[in-house]
Amino acid sequence: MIKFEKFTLENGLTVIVHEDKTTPIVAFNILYDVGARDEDESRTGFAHLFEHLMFGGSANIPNFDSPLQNAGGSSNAFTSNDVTNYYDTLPVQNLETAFWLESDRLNQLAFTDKSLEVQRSVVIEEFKQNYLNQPYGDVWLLLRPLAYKNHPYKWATIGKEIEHIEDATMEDVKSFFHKHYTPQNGILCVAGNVTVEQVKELSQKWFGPIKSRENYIRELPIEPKQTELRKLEVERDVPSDALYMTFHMASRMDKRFYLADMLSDVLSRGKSSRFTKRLVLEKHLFTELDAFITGSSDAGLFVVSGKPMDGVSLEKAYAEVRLELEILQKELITEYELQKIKNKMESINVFGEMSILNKAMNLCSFELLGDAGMINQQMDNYINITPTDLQEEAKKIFKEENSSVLFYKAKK
Amino acid sequence: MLDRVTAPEIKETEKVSYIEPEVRTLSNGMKILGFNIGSQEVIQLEFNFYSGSKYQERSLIARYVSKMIGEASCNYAPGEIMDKIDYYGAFLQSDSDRDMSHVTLFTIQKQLKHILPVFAEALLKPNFPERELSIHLKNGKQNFKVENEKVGYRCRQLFTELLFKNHSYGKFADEFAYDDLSAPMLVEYYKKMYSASNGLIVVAGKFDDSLYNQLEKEFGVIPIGKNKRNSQKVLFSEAEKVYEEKPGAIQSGIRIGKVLNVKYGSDEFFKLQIINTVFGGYFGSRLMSNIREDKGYTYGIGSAIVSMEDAIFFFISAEVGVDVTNEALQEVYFELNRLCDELVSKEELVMVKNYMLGSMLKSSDGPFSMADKYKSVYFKGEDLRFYDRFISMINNVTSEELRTVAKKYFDPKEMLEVVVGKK
Repeated sequence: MIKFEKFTLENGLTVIVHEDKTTPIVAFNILYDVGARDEDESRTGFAHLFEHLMFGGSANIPNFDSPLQNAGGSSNAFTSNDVTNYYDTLPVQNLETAFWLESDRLNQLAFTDKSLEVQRSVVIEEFKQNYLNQPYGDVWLLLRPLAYKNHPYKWATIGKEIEHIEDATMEDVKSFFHKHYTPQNGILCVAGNVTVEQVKELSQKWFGPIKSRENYIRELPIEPKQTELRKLEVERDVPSDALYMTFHMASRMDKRFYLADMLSDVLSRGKSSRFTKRLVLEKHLFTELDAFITGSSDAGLFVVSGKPMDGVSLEKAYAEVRLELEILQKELITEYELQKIKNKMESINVFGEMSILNKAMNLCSFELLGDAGMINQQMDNYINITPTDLQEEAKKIFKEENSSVLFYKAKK
Repeated sequence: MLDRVTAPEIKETEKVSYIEPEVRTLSNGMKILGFNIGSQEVIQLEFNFYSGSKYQERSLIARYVSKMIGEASCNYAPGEIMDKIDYYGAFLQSDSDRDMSHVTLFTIQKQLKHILPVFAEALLKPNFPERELSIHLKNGKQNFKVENEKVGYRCRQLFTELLFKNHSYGKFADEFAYDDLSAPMLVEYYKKMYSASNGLIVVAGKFDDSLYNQLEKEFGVIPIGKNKRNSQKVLFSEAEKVYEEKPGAIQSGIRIGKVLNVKYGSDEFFKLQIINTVFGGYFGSRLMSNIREDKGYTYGIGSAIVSMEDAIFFFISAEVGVDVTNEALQEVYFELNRLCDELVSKEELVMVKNYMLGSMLKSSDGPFSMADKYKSVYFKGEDLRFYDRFISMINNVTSEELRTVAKKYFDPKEMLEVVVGKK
C-alpha cells in the first residue's frame, strides 16, 4: 500500500506527496501530458527533442544540471509516445533546489540558438546510435507505420526521419513549449522523507506564481479497425533473420488491457513461459522469443518478436508462433499457470516499491490516467481474471486480420 | 516578487550511513554476510564464488556453469526448477564476470520457505543436461554474432584484449568457442569451484534470525572444498593506436585508456576517483560538457575507473558520428591535457564534491544497494573504513593534489586508443 496526498494549485498543477521516512534521498518527478502522439506528422521527434532542450537553461538559470549537481543531485528524463517525464533525485535537505530549477524551466525556457543547434546534433547522434547503427535498430521505424495507418502512434518517439529533427526551428520550439508546457498539463510527485505541509509550501512558493497558459485539447485521429493481415519483408545486413508481429489491443483504461497484459505473461514471462519452454527449449526453433505489450494510453499493440534458429525459415517460425496463439484460443490455460502469473505479478509489484523514484513515477502516471490511487488497485485488476476471460480475449486479439507481420531478413 | 535568480541555500551531505553486516558461519565454514535492514518484505540471497573466467582453462566454461544453474538437477528434470521459481514469483539470476560467479535468488518473504529448498537443490545438485547446454550454446553463438556487429561491443572487446595482452582478462571467446564446450567440462569446473571454502553468501532484505537456521539446513552441506582464489596483478598496459574499419558504419566506437598502477583504497586511488568524476564521471563532466553539450558530436561520452581483483584500469568510451570521429578524438586529448596542466577551479571542485557525496548517499540507499556497496570493498580486502577514508578525501582534496595524480596517471602518451568504425 503506497500512501499519498494530493492537491492542486490554482494554476492547475497537480501535486502528489508520498512520505517515506526510510530514505535520505528525495525523488522529484514531474510529468507533462505531452508525447510524440501530440506532434505534427511533418515535424516528428519534437517532443523528444524538446525534452533535450529543457536541460539547456531557463530564463533565470543558465544551466540546469550544475546547480542540481552542486546540491548533490542528478536528473534525467524520458519521452514516450504519450508523455514526457522529468526526474531529479537529491539529498532530502536540498529539496528546494529541485523546486527552484523545475519551476523556472516551466515558467520560461531560455531558448538559446546554441542549445537548439547542439541538441539537434545530439539527438541526431542518438538516432544513429540506437536506430541506425545497430543490428535490428530500425525495427520500430518499420513496425509502427505498418501497424498504425492514422493514429500518431505510427511514428516512433525519436521521429520518422532525421530530417525532421534537422529542420526544427526556434519558432517551432517556442510554439511547442507554449502549447504543452503549462501548469495544468503537469503532475508533480515528491517522494521521500518530507511532509505534506513542506511540499505544499514549496509548491506554492515556486510553482504558484506561474500563470496557466491556454488549454491544449487533444484531438487525435482514430485508428480504423484493421481488417486484413499486413505483411512487410525487408532485407538488412544482420547476422540472422528476425520475426516481428503486432496485434491491436485495448487502450490503457479498458478492462481488456489487463487481459492482454496477462496473455503476454503466459507466453513469455519467465523461463517457464510457453514461448521459452516450448519454442526455444523444447522445439529449439528460436534463440529468443518474446511477447509484450506497448502499454500505451490509447489503443496499443501486443507484440511478438523473435529470432529463429539459423536454418529455421521465417515462414516456419511464423507458423509455429501462430500455432501457440491458436492454442490460447482453443484451450483454457490451467489454474496452475494462471496462479503462477498472478504470483509473479505480486512479486514484481512488491519489488517495484523498493525504489523511491519508481514510486514517484508510477504515482504520476496513474494520476495522468485519472487517479494516482489506482497504484494500489493494480493487483485487483488481475486477481479475478479467469482462464475463460483469457481465452475470449485471445480470440479477439490474435485474429490474423488484426495483425501486422514483419519478416526481417538477413542479407546472404 | 520571488527571487528566481539566486539558488536556494545548499546544505552539504555530512554523513552517509553504512551498515555493518551480521557475520555468520555455516558448519561447513561458509561465511554469511547478513544485511537485515529493509522495510519491504523482500529478500535477496546471493552466492558468490571465486570462479570467474580468469580461473577457467578454456573459454566460456565459467559463464556456462553459472548459466546452467537452475536448468536441471538430480531430482528435477529440465524446466521443472524454472517452473517452480516462476510459480512462487521468485527470480533466479546468475552471471559470471572475470573474477567471480554469482547465483542470486530474489523472492518476497512469504514465499521464501517454499522456494528455498528448490533453490538449494538447483545450486547444490545441478546436472548439466547436454541437450539444454547445446541449445544455450547455439543461442549464445547467434547472440555473439549480433553483438559483434555493434561498433560499441567490438570496440570494447578489442580494447580489453589489447589492454590485457598477457593476462586472462584479455581473452575472449570467438564464435567457434561455442561449438565444443561439453557437459563434463562444466561438471568438473563446478565441482572444483562451487565449494564452501571458495565462496561467500550475502543475504539482504527483511528477515528474522530463523533465516540463518534455514540457510544452515539447506547449505551447510555444500562441500568444504578448497579456496581457489589467486591473483596475478597487471600493473601496466602498452600505449598504441589501433583502428579497425567497419564498412557501412555511421558511428565509430571509441575507447581510450590504460591500466593504473595504483593500490585499491589508497589516497591516490581516491584522488583518481575524484579527478575521473571531473573528467568524465557524471553528466556535468568535462567530456560531456565539451563533446556532447558544446559540440554535439555524441549522444553520450564518459570515463570510468574499473577495479578488478588483478588490475585497476581507466577508460573513456563513446560512440560518435563517423564524420566527427577525428574531431571527437582531438577533444578527448585536449581535455586529458587540460586535466594534467590546469588546476580544477574552486567552483568546479565544490560541485564535484557535492555531487559525489550525493551519489554516495543514493548508492547506499536500501538493503540491496547497501549489500552491494559492502561487497564491492569486502572482496578487495577492505571494510567500511574504506568509505570513511573516501568521504574524508572528497571533503579535503585540493586542486593541486588532483593535478598531481592526473599528471602521474593520465598522461595522454601512455594511453591505448581503439577506434572501430570509420574516420
